[in-house]
Amino acid sequence: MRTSAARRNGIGAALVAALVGASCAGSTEYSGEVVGGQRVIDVAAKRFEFTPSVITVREGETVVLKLISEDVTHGFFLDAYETQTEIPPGEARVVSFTASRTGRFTFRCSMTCGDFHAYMVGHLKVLPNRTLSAGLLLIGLLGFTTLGLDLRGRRDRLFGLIPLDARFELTAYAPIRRLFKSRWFPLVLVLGNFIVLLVILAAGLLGGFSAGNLNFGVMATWILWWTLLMTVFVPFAGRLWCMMCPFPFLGDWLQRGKLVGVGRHKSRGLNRKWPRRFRNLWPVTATFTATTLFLGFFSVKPFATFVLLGLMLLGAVAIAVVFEKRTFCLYLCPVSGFQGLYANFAATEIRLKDPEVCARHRPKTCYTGNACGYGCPWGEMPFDMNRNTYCGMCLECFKSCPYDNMALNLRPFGVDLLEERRRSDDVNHRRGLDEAFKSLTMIGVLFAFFLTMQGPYGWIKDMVRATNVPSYGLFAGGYLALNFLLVPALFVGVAAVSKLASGNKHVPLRDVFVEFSYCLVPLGLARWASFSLGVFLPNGSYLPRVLSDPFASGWNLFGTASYAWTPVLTGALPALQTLILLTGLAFSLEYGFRLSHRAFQTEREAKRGWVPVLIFLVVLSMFFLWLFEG
Amino acid sequence: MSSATASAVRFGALLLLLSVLYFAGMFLLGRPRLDSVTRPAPLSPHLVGDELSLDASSGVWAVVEPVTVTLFPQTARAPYGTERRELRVRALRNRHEVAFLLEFEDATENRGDTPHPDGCAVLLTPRPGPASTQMMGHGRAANIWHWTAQDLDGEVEGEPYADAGARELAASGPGTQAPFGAQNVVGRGQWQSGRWQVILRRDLEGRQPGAWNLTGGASLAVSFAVWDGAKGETLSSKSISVLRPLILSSSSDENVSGTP
Amino acid sequence: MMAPVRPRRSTALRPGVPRAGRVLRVGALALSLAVTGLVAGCGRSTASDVEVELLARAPERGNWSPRTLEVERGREVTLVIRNVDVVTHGFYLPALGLTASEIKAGDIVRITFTPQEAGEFPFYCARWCSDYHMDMRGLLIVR
Repeated sequence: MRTSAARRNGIGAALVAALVGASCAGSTEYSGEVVGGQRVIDVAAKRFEFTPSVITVREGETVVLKLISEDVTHGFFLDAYETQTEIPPGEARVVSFTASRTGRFTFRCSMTCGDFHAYMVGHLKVLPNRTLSAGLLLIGLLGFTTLGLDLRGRRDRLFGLIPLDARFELTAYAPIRRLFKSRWFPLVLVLGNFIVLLVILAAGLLGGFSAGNLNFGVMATWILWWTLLMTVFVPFAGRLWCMMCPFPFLGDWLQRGKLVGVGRHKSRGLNRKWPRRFRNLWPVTATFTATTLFLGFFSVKPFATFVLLGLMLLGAVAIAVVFEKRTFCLYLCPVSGFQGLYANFAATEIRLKDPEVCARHRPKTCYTGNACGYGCPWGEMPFDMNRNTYCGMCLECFKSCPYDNMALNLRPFGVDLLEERRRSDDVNHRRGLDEAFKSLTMIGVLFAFFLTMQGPYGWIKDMVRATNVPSYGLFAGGYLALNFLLVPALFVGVAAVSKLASGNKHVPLRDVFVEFSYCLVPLGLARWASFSLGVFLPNGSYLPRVLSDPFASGWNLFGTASYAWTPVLTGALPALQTLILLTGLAFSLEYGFRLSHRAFQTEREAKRGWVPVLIFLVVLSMFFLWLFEG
Repeated sequence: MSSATASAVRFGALLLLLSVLYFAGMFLLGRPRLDSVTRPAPLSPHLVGDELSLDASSGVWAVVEPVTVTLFPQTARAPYGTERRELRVRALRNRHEVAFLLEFEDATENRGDTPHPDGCAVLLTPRPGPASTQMMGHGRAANIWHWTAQDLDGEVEGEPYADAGARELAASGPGTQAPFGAQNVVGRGQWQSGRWQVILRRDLEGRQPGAWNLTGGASLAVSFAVWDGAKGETLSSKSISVLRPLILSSSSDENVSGTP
Repeated sequence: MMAPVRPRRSTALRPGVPRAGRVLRVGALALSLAVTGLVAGCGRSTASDVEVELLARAPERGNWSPRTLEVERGREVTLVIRNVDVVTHGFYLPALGLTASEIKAGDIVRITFTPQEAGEFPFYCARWCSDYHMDMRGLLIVR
């Protein structure tokens, strides 16, 4: 046992060394030419690419960039070095700096130059890239250490510190409970956001095809809301956004006939039930994937944002008329899927307090509703709920429970990933391939998003923004194949190797595949948080401008209408991204081994089956670190 | 087909329909609208058997009707041009040479003895160019036949010019223009009662690296420029035309080269 | 030959919207003034009481809008040029010597002048903005 463990450790160490080595060594081609002790590089800017798009220099060199524009007026801003200039057409501008900070930094167009202006970036590599090496080394060490600990045996506490059943009830405080029992809450939040949504729609319509980066609708939705969702709401509070989301507001009102108080419990609409076969994440995976195909439109064109959000608003109302309750939120909203899956990682949960109370209580008013509140609009059975996936945090169960038996708890991150199926879950075929595919498709989506929005290659951007239909078709086909074939096939391979390594011939491959897919959740969330910061930090400074003048009509509500575009902390992005990825990986590894125990029967099987998955997680983290920083 | 499969198909079809509609709408609305864009007619030098005379009053020039080309102030780079002008262009070729006769109004004759002599130019750049109006062959090599109302002989040391005032330049953007090593363009200008008549002529063969062949089948675009010295125009301060295709038919040409 | 003119101000200001939104924008502006009273500095009030709005877009996205402006001879007018496009433009009216060499996307530039001669004066975009940059032309008619 010891010798085989040592051998495995040796293999792991060799793998880490090889990966780190590969990133540092290799024949490096530096850009441009050294003239009189300076590295001189000709850089041409055109929509939406710099040529060369990746500039490689050596640490300490004096770098001189000769910038020209091949089409319209562009600009040049270099992260970390904070150097900036305008590049008017027909003129050459020179930027020079000493390459004192090593690592990979992004340079960006600083003058609005077209729809994809905010995505017009290039990469400066100042070698040796110590941030990348350090990150890879840390990821390797984390994997290595975890493996060592895992081989010594199962640990009950999270990171050996926090008991998994630790809870802190926020609703134990009377003011919070009173607030949750009020019919005005979370309605006030919804109403506030509904007004914001109307402003976003108006700004999108008025903005037409003007610059998205200067439009309130585009900025508020895809920069502010998206980043909040991925960095704050989902990781810390699960579906907190669903609590205040304005989209189902009109449908709720129609179904219930009352805005604040408790009205009809049964909608006068068709009140149809969503087909049982599709009460899972498949439909939302489909709507999300379909929506992301149009990234090149809605994330940059105000009118495209208007149409998308308008369609969603209309869709939510129409679905509320035809189907029962929150069918739209559960099975159609494009952003419901990853929120539901990733909410399992969140540090908050709504759960019952004392099962005894519920057992005695008939009828179950949290499911059927009463004079104080509606039966769970999300179709959950709050008395039997054990996962966050389908809990929209609408707080109706707090109002409808006569025994105050519902609680909002703080808890250790990620405990839902281990939750067994419950009776109510089985009915809806949860914790199955649908959730596994949701998790896996989010890998390919991020890869495509990153290359489009933060990658240096203009040809990819041209495909995504549909400069012509065939190249867009190529993108769409490749994107769907990546998400639904390549990545899942790779993971099937990992699961197969895991099964083989475990020595257990009887466990179905499908179960291994599904179980281990949940350990991708923390890493997935970390990946998306890292990526979102890479969008927000450079572009967040457009927000003061559009907040002061949402309709671009000359207002100056907060005196910030002339606020200049200023990337914030973008020089620290590599370090931040490394940190976030490491955190995500730590949780993924922590839960992965536990999931292995669920997938396999004996301790020995679980250990052996875990190793291939651990290696996959480490390599996947290294891949994304390389994508972000290498 | 089970009812579940049917539902899935219905759902998929609806999603696909919405997606296609959204894509089509955004794609079509975002497409360039070219209704306010001028597409100038191609210019095709008329094939003649005679010599291409540098004298505008020669009978050979009478065989073609002039084409009117509108020139606008140059507005891509300061200092800008000042005037909108009409230029009358005749283009001729024989088996060896191509010539352009440019006629434009100019109230005052400004020759080389004034600070800013009058001038005009023909620009040739490969088609399809980087852009229909991009500056001076920006990002692409352009040939410029530049005529100024002065005798350039001996002005630049070691660069003898074939005829008064004409220079053949290579350029790939503003400020990059440089004379070719060998000068094959000849030009002559004559001012009479408020009008310049300028002829620029060159061999069909480029004869040196970077100089375009004008033999049949060459795919080039041409534009024109005029400087009015009396208005202080010099360098980028000028009036220019939009690029238009230059058609050099290969049918009756013996030394066909280039693409079919 | 320059026509006599008195260029007064050329102030780079703030973002613009397409024409379709003007009604809503005006309504919203009034509402905002009434409700919030927060509005500050939406451009100093100009001396001229005549404002003419001109939207700048590259030719393939709509060109100058309107393409023909009409003003009165001898009366001070402020041209409010809004770049509602996605690229940098410029404004150049050579006959009256009016130039704004850079109007960034989303910005507004105001040019106040008093035309002293009747006539038709072409104006141009003064920043290479498109393959069709040279087609970005308009006409100022002074009556």
